Amino acid sequence: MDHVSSLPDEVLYHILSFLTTKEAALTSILSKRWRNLFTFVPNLDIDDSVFLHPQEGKEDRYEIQKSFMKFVDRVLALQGNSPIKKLSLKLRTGFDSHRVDGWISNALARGVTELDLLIILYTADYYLLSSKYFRNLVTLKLNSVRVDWLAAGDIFLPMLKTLVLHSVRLCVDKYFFSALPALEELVLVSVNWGGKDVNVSNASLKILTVNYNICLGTFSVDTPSLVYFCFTEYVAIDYPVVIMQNLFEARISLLVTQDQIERARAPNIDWVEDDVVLRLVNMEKLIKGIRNVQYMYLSPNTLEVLSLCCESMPVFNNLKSLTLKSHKSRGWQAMPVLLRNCPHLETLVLEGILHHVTDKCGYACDCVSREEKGCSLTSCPVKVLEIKGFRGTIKEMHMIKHFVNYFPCLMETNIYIEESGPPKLRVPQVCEFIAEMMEHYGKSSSFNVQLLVGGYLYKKWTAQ
Amino acid sequence: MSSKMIVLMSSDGQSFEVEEAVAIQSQTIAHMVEDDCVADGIPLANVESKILVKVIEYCKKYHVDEANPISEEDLNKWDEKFMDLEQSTIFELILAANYLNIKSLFDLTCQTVADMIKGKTPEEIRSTFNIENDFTPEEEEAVRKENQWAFE
Repeated sequence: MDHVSSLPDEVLYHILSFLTTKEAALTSILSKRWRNLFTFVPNLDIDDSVFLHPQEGKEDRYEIQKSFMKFVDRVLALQGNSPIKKLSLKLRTGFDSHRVDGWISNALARGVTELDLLIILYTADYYLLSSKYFRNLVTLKLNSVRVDWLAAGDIFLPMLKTLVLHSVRLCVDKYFFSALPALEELVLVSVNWGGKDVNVSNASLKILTVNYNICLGTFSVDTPSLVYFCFTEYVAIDYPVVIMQNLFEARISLLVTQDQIERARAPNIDWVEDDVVLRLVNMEKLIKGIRNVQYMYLSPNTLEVLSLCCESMPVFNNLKSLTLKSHKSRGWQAMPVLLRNCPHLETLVLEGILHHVTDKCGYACDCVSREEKGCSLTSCPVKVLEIKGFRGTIKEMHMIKHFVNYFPCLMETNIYIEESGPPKLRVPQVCEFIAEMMEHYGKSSSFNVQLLVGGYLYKKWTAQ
Repeated sequence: MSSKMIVLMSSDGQSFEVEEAVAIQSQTIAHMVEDDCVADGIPLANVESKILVKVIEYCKKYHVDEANPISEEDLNKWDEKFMDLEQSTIFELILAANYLNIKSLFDLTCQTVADMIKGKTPEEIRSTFNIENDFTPEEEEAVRKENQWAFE
């Protein structure tokens, strides 16, 4: 029995809306009932990557492109003035940009709420998005196009909640973001700013992701409602304004050159003279701006660059959980100050504990032997310590012992070994070491250590 | 803290007691609760007991709070198992989700059917759903030409 054809029209449109337009169009030939159903789906999801077959000759491709244009024109003609919800256009193989302008305008005129465009031309130029009136748009995603919204009043996006700009060439004035009254999420990835200063100023923004942007001047953020901030960037020239007082979670991964790291480590730096270092020092403005955060992740590079901000390190009063990733080429110079400035820290997650040894991390770990060893740990109230990416080396085991010894409020330590990590032979040695450690350090009766292998609990030790 | 319960009645006369907080994931039921006409139970004339049981199972699982904390990953795995059903049941579930206006269930059930269409030739789709081809050869040719690009 054919159950599916007897479903109501709106239900069939909804089912077809989960397919690309091309896939949905195949149903036109199933039976008379299905002939034009796909044209009423209020989404157009078109991706021309189906053209990228190396075997096809050039003539073939031209014919297929012609029939592709004809197809889109026909579907739009059949849809007439009916409302459309989403238009997704991914074009990489060359096309008539005038025609594409027409398609986009058609969708905008019919109240499209979600627009997702990836348009790559054969030439080195960008496709210029000429449309300016996006009255109903709630979600806008642009990839590889050029956006020129410089004149005041040039852009009207009153309902926009989500804006994703990827590899876009952006020319906007500094009031652009503040003119988006409903914006909640902004993603800027590999955007080319043409050397301009970036100014993300918006009262309603909640989520901000800034990754791999290029050619930017200074970077300012004024987002009082921001809850989540993800930042993977080269160090900007300066951070004049950073306002995020309601921030909940921040992930900061700096991209640095080896030259920057070496200059930062140089013992007698004259900051005023050294441009490179001055730029790194300006990071302190970014760190100060996020100081109200509750969950923070810092990459190995970020932790090393913070070594230049130790004197001005803010107090992270609300920080409950801190995750630090380590790498053997990057140091922990900022670790002592950082741990001392987290008065309410509950959880510390260390993704890898082996790091580049300097004499400045000495207070926080036992890499270098010194008298006040561990003193910055004794003021840190952390209750849960998680060690991820544990490799079972002696050095790591000594570091864990050091933490267990000096963190005064520690209740729980979880050690994670990857499945692909050290061979099973080492696990018994690790267990022996942990057992010894438990005996040695008379912790409270509720202190426990768990060893997890491949994500599953292998063994648990509780203090007697 | 006791939770408010309401009674849902299937088209074939069976009654099901459900927490109000779970049931109002259905916009249809939520509106009835707002309009305060649920005292004697809510008759669901379009939903058989066999299907209502599944709907309630879904709503209970998706009522995520401190008592029932669950990750997105786990929910996705659960969805897969939940939708391992006969075709006719899937379609009845679609209609029930539409009637009861439970957006996430409606999306899940429709996505499941879409996944059964994806990647198949028209002949394979007909075979999956028992659809009879009532085109004449000329008509079929005309449709192929109309949407030529889709059939390339």
